[in-house]
Amino acid sequence: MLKVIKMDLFRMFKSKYTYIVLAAAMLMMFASVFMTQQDISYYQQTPSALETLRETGDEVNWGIYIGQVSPEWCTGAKIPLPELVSMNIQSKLLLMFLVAFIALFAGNEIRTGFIKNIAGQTRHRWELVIGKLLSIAIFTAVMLIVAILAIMAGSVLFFGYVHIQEAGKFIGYLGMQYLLHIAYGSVILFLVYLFQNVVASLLTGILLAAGILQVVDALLINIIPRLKEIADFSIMNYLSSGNVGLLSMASGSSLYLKAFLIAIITLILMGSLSGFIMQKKDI
Amino acid sequence: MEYLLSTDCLTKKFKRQTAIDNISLHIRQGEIYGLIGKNGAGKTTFLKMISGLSKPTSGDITFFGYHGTERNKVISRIGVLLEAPGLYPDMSAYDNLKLKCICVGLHRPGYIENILNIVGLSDVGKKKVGHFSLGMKQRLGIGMALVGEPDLLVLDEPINGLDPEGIAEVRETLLRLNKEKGLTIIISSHILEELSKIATNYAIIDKGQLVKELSREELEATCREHIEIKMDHPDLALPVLDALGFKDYRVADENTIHIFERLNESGKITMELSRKNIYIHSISVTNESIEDYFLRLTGGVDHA
Repeated sequence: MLKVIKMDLFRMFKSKYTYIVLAAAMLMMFASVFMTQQDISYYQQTPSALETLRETGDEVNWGIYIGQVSPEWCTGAKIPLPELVSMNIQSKLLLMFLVAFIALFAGNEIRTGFIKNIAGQTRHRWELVIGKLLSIAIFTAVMLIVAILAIMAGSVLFFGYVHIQEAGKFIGYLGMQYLLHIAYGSVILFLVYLFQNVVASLLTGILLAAGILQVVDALLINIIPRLKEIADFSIMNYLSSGNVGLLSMASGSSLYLKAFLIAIITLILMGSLSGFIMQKKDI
Repeated sequence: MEYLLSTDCLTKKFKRQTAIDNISLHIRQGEIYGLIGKNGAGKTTFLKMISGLSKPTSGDITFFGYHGTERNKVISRIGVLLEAPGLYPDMSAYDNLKLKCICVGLHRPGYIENILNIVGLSDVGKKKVGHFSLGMKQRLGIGMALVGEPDLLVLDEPINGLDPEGIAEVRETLLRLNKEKGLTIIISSHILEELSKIATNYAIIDKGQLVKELSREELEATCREHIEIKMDHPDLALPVLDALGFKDYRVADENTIHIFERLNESGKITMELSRKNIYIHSISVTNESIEDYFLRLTGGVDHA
């Protein structure tokens, strides 16, 4: 299995698109900080808009967005880096880039037919899934670091400072988001093996990250009336992509625990299903 | 172990369609085994099953004496090039080979260079595979299959789309590997003349069924120039041929005798058979090409 992992890591670091996706994520984070600065200026000059932001600020946005602003940032106080990072992670922009990477990385092995060269070289084909999951974990870590660096650079350039506070809590938050991202990555990997198609898995992955599954909320409530008793019920609350958007620096320990359980269950379930497909499906 | 690889009633069904139907083949070490069949005959499906990339619906495959799930122990001893070569176009030939070397745990210095040399790609440098010609990709595909020094090379239509020079290069490479390394090769093709230049044994597959398994000598005997006599009762003619001193002949089917010697004596045979009141429909000197033989076995040119 170690050989397969080494092979995947070698390919990941050799592939052009790994760096393209990382550069794009970096640029997007940088642009997001710029947009945040622009929005803050706008809210500071338009009190009515700021009031609206205060009223709607607590609403959960399940979609993918850019340049989100917290009302507290418009008071002139320094914006803490952890909050800026958290807001950008919650926007699911990084999740979108992760989807692109996985669809390309795992999908290309199938699309190019390279898998035919290696499928017979491993005793158990599910080992190939482990290699991919580990590559996803490493890529996610690099992407998060790159994103934080880009946000820091943007913060220095557009706000003139980097204000770090609650470092311990921030590390915990990053750890949980890291786990949620890997869990969602395992969903995309499963889609790649299921569809055997880069475009289909890429599109489905982005749509799922953007909260397309909200459309089933009403249907679920109709089927199971007891769901009405749950305040603001949405299936997104129980998915790894939903929890990426939900989990903020201000979240309590119960949300962390829920996110942790969802991430672990997703990872185990999707990893097993991907392994099962690889083991059973003809190549 | 008599055979390196053998299949026993191998069958593959896709829903209601039977792609491979009870095929039993036998391949000895060192053979170049030609798999002949029209497009859609089931060659690729068969090769995928023996390479471990596709699971049989029923039947068994024995490789190196291992069969069933035990075969997984030795499945890595098979190098494959199925359909188009599986290569990353944005990587160099070296890096593509290195990926497979890492996968099989090979880190010997100069190993990749040696493979590139064997397949005639030692001078491609860092050129991306996406910029390779079809022939270069095919040769790199063979190189990929050679990584790990397999005992069996499975090649599916490796000369498809190649120009004559490319075909000759691939042929020379395969013959050299077979001769120098004793590599057993299974090669499928529908370019029969080309296959006949390298194969030592053949299997003809049609509509998922094994039509014929024969050696090069048997095929050559079948296809070489001969006198063909068409008649109702060949058994009556055999004593006559014996009396005339013919030894190299055979009854090809229930209405046909093939004689492979003294090809200028068809008049004498006709006279002698006539003298014995043995009626014949026709007598002619003919030689059947491999294509003609293949088409005869697989039922014509309708979808060849």
